[in-house]
Amino acid sequence: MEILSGTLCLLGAFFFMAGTVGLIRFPDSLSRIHALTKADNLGLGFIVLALVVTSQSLTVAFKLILIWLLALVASSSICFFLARKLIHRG
Amino acid sequence: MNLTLLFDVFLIAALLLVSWRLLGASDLFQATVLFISFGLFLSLAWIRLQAPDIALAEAAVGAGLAGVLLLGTFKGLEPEEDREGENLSSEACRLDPISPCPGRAHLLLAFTFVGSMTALLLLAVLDLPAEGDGLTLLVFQSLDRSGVEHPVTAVLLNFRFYDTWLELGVLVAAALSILCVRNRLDLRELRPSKVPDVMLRRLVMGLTPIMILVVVYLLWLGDHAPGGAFQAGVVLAAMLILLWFSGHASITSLSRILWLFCLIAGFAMMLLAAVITASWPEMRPLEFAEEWSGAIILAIEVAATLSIGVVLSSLAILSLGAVED
Amino acid sequence: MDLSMVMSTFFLYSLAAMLLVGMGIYGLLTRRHLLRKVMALNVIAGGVFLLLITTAYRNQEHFPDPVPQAMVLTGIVVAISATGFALALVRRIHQRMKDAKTDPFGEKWDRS
Repeated sequence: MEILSGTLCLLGAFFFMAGTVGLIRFPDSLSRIHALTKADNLGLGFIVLALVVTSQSLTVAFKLILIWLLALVASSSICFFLARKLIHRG
Repeated sequence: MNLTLLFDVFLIAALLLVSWRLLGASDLFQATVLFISFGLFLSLAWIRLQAPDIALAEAAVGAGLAGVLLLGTFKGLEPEEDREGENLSSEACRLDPISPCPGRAHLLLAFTFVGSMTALLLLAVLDLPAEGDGLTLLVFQSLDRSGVEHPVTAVLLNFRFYDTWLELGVLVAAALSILCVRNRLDLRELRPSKVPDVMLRRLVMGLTPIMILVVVYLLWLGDHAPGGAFQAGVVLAAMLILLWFSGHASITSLSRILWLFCLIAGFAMMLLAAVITASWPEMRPLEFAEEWSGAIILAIEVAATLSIGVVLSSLAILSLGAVED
Repeated sequence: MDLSMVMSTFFLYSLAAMLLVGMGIYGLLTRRHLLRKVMALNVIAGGVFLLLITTAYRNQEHFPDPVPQAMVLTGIVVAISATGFALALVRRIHQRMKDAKTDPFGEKWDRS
């Protein structure tokens, strides 16, 4: 169990790092938010999964998954607003 | 060298770097964004120092509300090319153009002052008594009689009741003084400066029930775990601001009397509790009877949540809102 | 928890807190833009809170002292309302500046 959660954590950290590298290296804002929202949500998902695997009770696991879903909703809609603003500006 | 210490060093370095950059960055917008990340790093530090109550409040206040307030003010100060027809340079936008640029003597004086202040502070910290664990033991001994199980809530609403009471008074004073500065009687005609769009309306509509749930959950949690009136109040404020910003009914549609009632609810409830306990026989003022203290604290917490939420959202709406012509 | 670990954490964070207070005061004294002065005030507040919380953390083996924690919790809400008020004042000053823009740096501004 612990090995599984450790692997998932490492996987999550890898995606977070990929997202950050994208944020720093990509040339324009559109591809930057692309890198951030995609990679970071996946990374957060993996870390939440790692915590779910080790969590003691069902309520804690449920809460963790709820947190992930809320973060998904928030980041995707923020991404949408940012991108639309960028496109409108031309 | 172990890993927690390494984490501490990284966190502190990030904290100091961000605050240095936010005070030194030439771009004001950049400084504002850095200020938001400063709040986030600070809330990480609270978690590290075992203060989850404060981390919750700081994440919502320091990163969320302060960001909204600063960005709103920044937007309001920005040169408005399209409306004015002329481009104001950033120099003209500066708020104190008549004061001279700080010279070398000024900087040196400031630096000396700050250096000696910091040195004195360092001496004071080193001078702290090495022994003794403050009031922890006392708090835990009387926790059974406080009516709640979480020590921070017990301190806030029972042992140091008057602190929280005066704090709610400060909130009311802040809201009223902003009304004076903005020359207004209430919030009723304030509208967001942009027309809210459909997507945002839908999103906020979907999120509102969840946020109400979070407010109630945090309020209930304060009884036995990190959470309580402050955190719930800040989430309520965020909800009210979002509702207002996306064009739904929010506190701007309350009548003046109702709005004022929400504003003073927390302060008034605590005043009521103080009067009742003061007039009770064989009871000192602000001392709760053991069997009633849980109920009294819950009532105060509900009222305080309402007040904190309404006051903080009013602050933000007053700083973001524009009157429709 | 090892007490010497706690002490080293305490010294690390209290040093950071002192540096934050120092930086904040320096920023407050030397920066000219009012918005930045408000931010500097908030940095000072952050430093003060950090110092309080580290003293609550010090010498504790199980649970940190809840009294400073409660004080900081009150302090955060008071700080944000003071910030809101300060920002409203900044807006007002800016408005007056814009009104006074027509006369070259003003007689009007000087007196008000």
